Amino acid sequence: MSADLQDKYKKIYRYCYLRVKNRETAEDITQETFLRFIEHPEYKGLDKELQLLYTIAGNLCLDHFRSQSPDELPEDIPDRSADGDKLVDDISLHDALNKLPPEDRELILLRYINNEPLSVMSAIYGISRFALSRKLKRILSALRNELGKEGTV
Amino acid sequence: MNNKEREALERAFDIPEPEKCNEFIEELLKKENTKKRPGIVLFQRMPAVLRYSLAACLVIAVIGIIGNIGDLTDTGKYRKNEETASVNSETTTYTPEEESTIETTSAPPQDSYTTTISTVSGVNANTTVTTVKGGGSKNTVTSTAKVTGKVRGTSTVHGRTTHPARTTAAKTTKKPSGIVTTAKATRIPPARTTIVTTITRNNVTTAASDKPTDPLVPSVIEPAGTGGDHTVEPPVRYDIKGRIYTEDQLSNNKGTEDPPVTDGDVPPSLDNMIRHSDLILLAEVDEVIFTKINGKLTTQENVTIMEPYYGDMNYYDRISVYADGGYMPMSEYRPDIDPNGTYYEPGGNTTIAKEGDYYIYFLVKDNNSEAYRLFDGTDNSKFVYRNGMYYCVGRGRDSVSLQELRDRINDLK
Repeated sequence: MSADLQDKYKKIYRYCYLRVKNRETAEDITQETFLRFIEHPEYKGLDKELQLLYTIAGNLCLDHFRSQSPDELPEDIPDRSADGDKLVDDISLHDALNKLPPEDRELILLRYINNEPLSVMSAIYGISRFALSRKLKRILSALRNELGKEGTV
Repeated sequence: MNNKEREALERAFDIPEPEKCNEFIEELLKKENTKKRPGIVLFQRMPAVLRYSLAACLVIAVIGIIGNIGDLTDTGKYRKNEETASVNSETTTYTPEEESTIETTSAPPQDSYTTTISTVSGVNANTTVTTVKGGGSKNTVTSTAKVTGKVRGTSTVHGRTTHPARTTAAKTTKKPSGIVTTAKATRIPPARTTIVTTITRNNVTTAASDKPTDPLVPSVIEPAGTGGDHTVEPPVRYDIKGRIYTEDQLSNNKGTEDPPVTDGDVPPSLDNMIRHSDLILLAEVDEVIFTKINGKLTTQENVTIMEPYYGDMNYYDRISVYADGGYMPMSEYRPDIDPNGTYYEPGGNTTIAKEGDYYIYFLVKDNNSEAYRLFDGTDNSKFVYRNGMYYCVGRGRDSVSLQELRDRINDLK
């Protein structure tokens, strides 16, 4: 159960980090998410665990933005210590990702980094799995176009 | 996407590892364990085989009490689990340790009652029973007897009715010497299960073996495959912004101009559409684009085919469908009135499709592109699912079942 919880923690953390761009804030929100989750009346509904976790995390991220002053810049500056051609590819893909709308980046994160199934994602976003599948294809196609070459993604 | 690509994506996202994961998880587990639900936590941590076996034993125990099975052992660990038993006019035997009284009342339709007193004795055998007085022929009453704590032996309830009872009610009374406790029914926490729902239908076309399940009741099964993309890029895309204007509103501003005259065309019949359509299919709307085709406002629906009934398209192919009418910026249409608004022309349609909608479409090929058009350009050529039937979106009242539609396609095509 601990390993399962760790996996969920990391998924929710990544989801929050993508939104708030700050490690500490993302961890705080993640922890708050889990605390609220176990107190939630639907806690017993284990088959809807992930959907509930993402929903709580999303709401907490929104609350965080509302409470922030406009002058704060929560960006973490990434440390690019990789070397060689991989760095070039990573930077290109990183830049291409940053050019996507935030919602599209989030979909890519949930699907390909967090490995969430379409059924969970469609419940979170309220659209059908087929529509979601089409959206993901479009996003990947946009990424490829941005990178300017086939096969990187 | 292969692992190499996923790793590249992960690097590109550049999300730092969390620092407090393990520490937090430990605290969370401690917190969870100290909550007043030891039974549930323990139950959840048991191996699946034990959980299912325990659940089965408890179900048998409940059935046993109802059906008057003998000794039931209290496992101690689940002493808080409580069981329900039903009291009815049949005789059951139960000999608990303490005495209490059960009063049963039958309520035949004519509002007269026959009351019978029965004696039940047993351990903690006081029952709390819901009483509802019956009177009409349609009234029904369910009475339940709830027993707490250790349950041993059998109970005896004597019932007598003077009429064939349409309703029964039971009431418990407390003996002065007895201890009445009210049982609380508890729900056995379910084992962790994943529910997979699959709905399958008979298809009229002999299509590939990986036929999709009914998309109107989506299943958790991932889509079986992908089809060809035959969508077209519209010449222009319009957004909806600002205030919406219709022709009626603008004609008031136009002063002496006459209002537009409607066509007055009779909507096509279903058989007519079946006979003359190039494509008949069930599809999901992926994207709705407002555009202009050959100078006419058009709504382009990019759809994915869930089930082809007639025509040369396949499952999961994507096509573009043109419907008359749509939106365009007022800056192009009547900038003198409101350059920031949007003009809307219904084009004979009653609704605008949205992403995620499902329709049965009757389509003809567009003369100038790879797209298709609604049979008569309007939503008379679209059917939407409701309560087991498909209804014409435009007309509303015309309906057909899927099987009937398939049969008519087979007959007419």
